[in-house]
Amino acid sequence: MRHPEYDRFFEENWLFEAVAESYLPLVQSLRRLLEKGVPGKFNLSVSPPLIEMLRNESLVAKISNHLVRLEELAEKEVARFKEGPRATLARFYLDRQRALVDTWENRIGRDLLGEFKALENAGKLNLLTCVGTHPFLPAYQSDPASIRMHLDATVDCFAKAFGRKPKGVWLPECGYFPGLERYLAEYGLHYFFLETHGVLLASPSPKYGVFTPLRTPSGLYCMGREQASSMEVWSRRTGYPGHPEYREFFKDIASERERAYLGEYFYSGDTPIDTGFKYYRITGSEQKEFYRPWNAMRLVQDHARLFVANREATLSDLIPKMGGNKAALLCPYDAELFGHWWFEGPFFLEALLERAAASSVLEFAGADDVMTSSADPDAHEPAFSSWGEGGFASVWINPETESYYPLSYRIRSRIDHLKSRTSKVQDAKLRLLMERFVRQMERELMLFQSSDWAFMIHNHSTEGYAKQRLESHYLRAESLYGEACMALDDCKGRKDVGQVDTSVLTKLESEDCIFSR
Amino acid sequence: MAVKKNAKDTKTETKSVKKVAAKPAAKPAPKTAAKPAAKPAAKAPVKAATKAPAKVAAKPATKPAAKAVAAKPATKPAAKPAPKPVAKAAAKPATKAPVKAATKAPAKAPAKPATKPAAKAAAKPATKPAAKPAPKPAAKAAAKPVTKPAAKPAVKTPAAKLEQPFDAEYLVLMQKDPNWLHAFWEVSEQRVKRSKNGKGKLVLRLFDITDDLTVQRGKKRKFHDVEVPADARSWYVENPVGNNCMAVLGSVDGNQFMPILESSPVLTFDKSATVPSFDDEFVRASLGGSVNGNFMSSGFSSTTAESWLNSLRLGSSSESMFSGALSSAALKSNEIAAPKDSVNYGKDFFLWVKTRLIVYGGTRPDAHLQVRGEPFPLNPDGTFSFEEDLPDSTKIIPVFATDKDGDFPTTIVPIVVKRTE
Repeated sequence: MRHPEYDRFFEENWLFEAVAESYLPLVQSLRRLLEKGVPGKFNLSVSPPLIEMLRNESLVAKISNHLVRLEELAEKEVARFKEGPRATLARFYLDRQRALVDTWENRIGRDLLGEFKALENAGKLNLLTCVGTHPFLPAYQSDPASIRMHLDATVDCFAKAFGRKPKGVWLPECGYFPGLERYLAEYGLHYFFLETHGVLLASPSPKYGVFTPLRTPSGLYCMGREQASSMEVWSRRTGYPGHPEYREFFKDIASERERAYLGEYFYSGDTPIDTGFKYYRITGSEQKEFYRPWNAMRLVQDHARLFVANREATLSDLIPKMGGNKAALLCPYDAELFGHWWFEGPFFLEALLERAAASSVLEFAGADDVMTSSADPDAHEPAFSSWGEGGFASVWINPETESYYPLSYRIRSRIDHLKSRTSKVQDAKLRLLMERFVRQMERELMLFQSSDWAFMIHNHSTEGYAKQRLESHYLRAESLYGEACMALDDCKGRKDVGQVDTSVLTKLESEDCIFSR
Repeated sequence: MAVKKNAKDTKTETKSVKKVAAKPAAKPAPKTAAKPAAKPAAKAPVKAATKAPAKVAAKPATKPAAKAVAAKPATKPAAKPAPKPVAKAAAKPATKAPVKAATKAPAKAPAKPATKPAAKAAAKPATKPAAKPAPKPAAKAAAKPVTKPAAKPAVKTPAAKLEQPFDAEYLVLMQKDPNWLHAFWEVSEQRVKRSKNGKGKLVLRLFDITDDLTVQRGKKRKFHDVEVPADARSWYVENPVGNNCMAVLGSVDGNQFMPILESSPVLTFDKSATVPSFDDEFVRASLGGSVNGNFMSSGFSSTTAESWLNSLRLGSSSESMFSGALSSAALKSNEIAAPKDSVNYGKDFFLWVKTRLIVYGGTRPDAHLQVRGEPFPLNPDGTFSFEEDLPDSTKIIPVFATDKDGDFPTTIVPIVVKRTE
């Protein structure tokens, strides 16, 4: 969904932040590793909406603009502070921002997807994807048509961007229900990932816990998240990103400078928008001290060393008991953790591969290679599970959100009805028009089914926006349905197909244009 | 597990008693209601005679109803089995004009619908987030939200002109957690009225179709009825014991069951499935050693998925399921079957040789120390130590420390290779 009418719609801003703070720094890290010849790779799930956004020219231009605005602000900061720790930091940010702009404009030519592909070819990335608009799939077990609709869009979108079909898929929120793997198999997918108990409670029980891929009844492979490696990073109490030496996320210069100085670009209404320039470290108390980038980079090395050593400890205990098979270990994280939330994250990733290169126990492998066999000979059906709080569906299906799901099934019912009417249409032109209606209703339904809305409502963050989006996609689908029915009736009368009213259809086709073919 | 209950009684409870429990783990109240099989399906509409118990419960009841009756599933006798109600919903004489609405509104990004159908409903239950809401509020929203408001603002064409009278129809079972399913449906009031024919009661008939691979029509299946108010559009239903179920909405009048809508089958969380033992070190390692100590030491080796889950504090992507200090799992001896270090000639002679590993060190008394990724307590003088069995293996023991402010991050990693020959 685009917001062409805004320079910097706040939802689009999430994309700008992800590119400026996570993806470009990640690209820089991977390029450095490549230059040094360090072995090992990371698996990156590129979701269909991200692909769509990065292929959209107007959004790409906005990203360029965003990076330049940040560079201008960094220049102002350098001019503002002549000496002291702020001056050092301002200089640090300016140099860094210029390097990011250079990476974006010159080294990758504004083509992040092309760069991901190049890094995959070079052996630094293994690309996989996510599902459609990120629906929480267990909610749609009774709506196979919707599951197929999302998977179809997924495979198509990935192939357009990367020139091959995806082998692996990251299930939205690791949401799984028994039987889902059959749909994945229909679309040629080879593997997927689950939360720990999705694998541990599989039927029959897995032989080696989460430490080898699990073959499913349809011949796919899945793997469960290993908990210790997750907690080392995610735990609020002991997770690496919370170390006092690291940069404090919540003290951005946007809230410390005057409006006239920052400029309107860094405001949304009366609220300043984070610039990504932050001058303090976490410190461990409320009296924040200045950030020391190079001390933090030194700590990153230690945390990477620790992370690798802890994995070595686990694996060297288990490997002797695996009957001569290799052990595998899945450590998944949100991409935006690295760089956006945890500023030093991309450097941590870089250090990880360097550290692992010196290990005699483990390597960082691509899922396309690992998820092709199992130490466990049986086929298993994984259990209903997700990685959300509570381990099941309560984050997305709860008293605050559950009244929305019937609307999804209602739209589905209308789409089915329209399809059945369309199948009886003789006139070729009218039939084409009806197919457009059906496709656009499906687009609205896909946007409606994104789990982000329920997540925002559950967390009470930008809840109003989430509800608006749900209602708007619902009403748009209803409007399309109404217009389609009217067109059918009109044509049944005397009207020519060219004369029927398609104003709603035309408008929505250009606005909610995700997955247009 | 075998309290027999009169089906009728249970039903009454279903209606009147409010459910209080909030935690999913606490829910499986039904223990009491598990049915001792065999209620000859005398009452069931069709010939039926299965013995197996079906355990299902309506959400709002403390003591879920449970019945063991079997019957043919439903709907039209000749129809194909497992129909998809959603898909088949055919055009019906229209009551309300279809929506040609908000045609203008959607143009703007956050279209403000004339009414906020769903939002309203969602707001109500919000007040009591922990408790399960009575199904009503949600029902309202689902029931009518849009058709009406939407019909009004019709921009251009008079709705009356439309010949397209279509009410959406579906019945869906959606799994919320291992214990509960959320059933919701939409069907024209006329159909409900016609089916009830004045005096019938509206019920959700839940069929346990576990292992029913053929889904033959006429096959006898276990089912269980949950009575729902005529104006309800959603209801909580307890997850049955099997792993595959479906529902039929219909009305019951005496022996007569008049089906209205059928759900597609759903594969549910199998609460009775056997689970891996916590004694299995792969299971322990998968969970990062965070397994509840009491449970582990209580010697359960086979248990149900349900109790297994209850014994775990499941993690999420944003918070830890770790309980704290170096887990007992990590320090536990991890080898039982290593024949090389023991020799036994029966009662005549034997020899065994084991090794223990002692790890010790010291730092400033106010420093923060982690061993294998978890916080480790220091003695008052800043020293620390621990001891564990050392079977044939390579032990890697990362020790990490910082000073009290988090400065001087330091990692030392002893690696011990032990081999017996």
